[in-house]
Amino acid sequence: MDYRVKLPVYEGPLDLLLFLIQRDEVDVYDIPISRITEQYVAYLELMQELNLAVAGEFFVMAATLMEIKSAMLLPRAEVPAGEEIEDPRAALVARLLEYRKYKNAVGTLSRRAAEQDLKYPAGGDGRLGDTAAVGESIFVLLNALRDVLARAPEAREVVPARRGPTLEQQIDYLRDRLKSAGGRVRFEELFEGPRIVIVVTFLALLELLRAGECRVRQDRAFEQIWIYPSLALL
Amino acid sequence: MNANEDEKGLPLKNVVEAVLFVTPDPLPLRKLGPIVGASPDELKPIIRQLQDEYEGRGVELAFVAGGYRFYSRPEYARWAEKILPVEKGPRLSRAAVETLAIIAYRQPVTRVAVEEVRGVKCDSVLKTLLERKFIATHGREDVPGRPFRYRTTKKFLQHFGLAGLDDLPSLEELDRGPNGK
Repeated sequence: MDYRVKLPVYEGPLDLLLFLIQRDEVDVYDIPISRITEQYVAYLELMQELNLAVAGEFFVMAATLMEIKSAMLLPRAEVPAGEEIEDPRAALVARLLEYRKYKNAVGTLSRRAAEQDLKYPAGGDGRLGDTAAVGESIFVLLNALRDVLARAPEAREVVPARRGPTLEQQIDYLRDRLKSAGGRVRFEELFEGPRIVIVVTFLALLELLRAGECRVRQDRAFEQIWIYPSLALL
Repeated sequence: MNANEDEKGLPLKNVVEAVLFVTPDPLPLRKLGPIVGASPDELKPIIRQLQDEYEGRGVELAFVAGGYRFYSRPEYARWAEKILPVEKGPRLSRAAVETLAIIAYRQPVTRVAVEEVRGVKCDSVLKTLLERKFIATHGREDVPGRPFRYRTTKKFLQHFGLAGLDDLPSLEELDRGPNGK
């Protein structure tokens, strides 16, 4: 069984601790341990109440916090005079500081990745993928077609199929659209008019895909679908 | 014969330009050298000259992942993306980038060491990063169980636009960042 906690904000106990410290603007070198422990445990209880699978690491940290708390309560007199007292919090503070460094690196690295994403290497880097096999994306396309059809105006009068456009006409229409766009076009922008026109246009699109005159790409699963004209078509 | 020209009298600078234009991956000087028949020391000023010449142009000669390659400049991305679909793959999660950061700064490093820093289990994140080739194994740690050690790959550098590992932001600097204290 997987006990990994999937919370939007706190990946682990260290994240939760850092959050509490930052929220209360507490000095990380001088953590008010009993207050933080109390709040930490309260969050843990809330997470359990919400039925979130709380990872074992969270309980280990709770135990660590309570251990530190009781060590802090030990009367100072027990320490021989003149001997340096080691702060029971020292090890935890060191861990938090170490972890925070990498946590801070995430933002900087992500910004650099986003910047690099905008640079296109000469030669294409394999980004110019092969023509997407229609077979792979047919369900994605059908799904998108359903959305387009659902938005299509309700036909006032039934258009007999023989009065609809021909496949050849819609193929020419698509070629013109892609050419005049001078690049990629949103899938749904290719379709307008009554259902019969939409359906024939869709079949025309499949035909262009098969002939390699355009490609289909989706930014990410369930996101925008783009139709890219082949360079020969432009 | 001019030292900057090859045996056919073609300028070495143009030869370098052509090779760096077609290379499918950033090309390090030690690989570029044998291809164009020049030493790294001869190539350095030539590359600097090319970089100067491409200043203010739509493309740049960039140093990424230890090598040179031409890239379109980021401000022209909105035209480039009209004809070139970007194969981004699924976005890296926060946890994945955090794990990558720990490996990048401390490599080679074992899974247990990464988990100690993050305070959570990392096996599934490491598996994803291995599959997507952002990290690779790098021998085994000489402790009981001989666990794998991990390091970051060239793909990691390319993804984050880093020239090399010493191009990583300094951790001390990061700790003084807006979230630091």
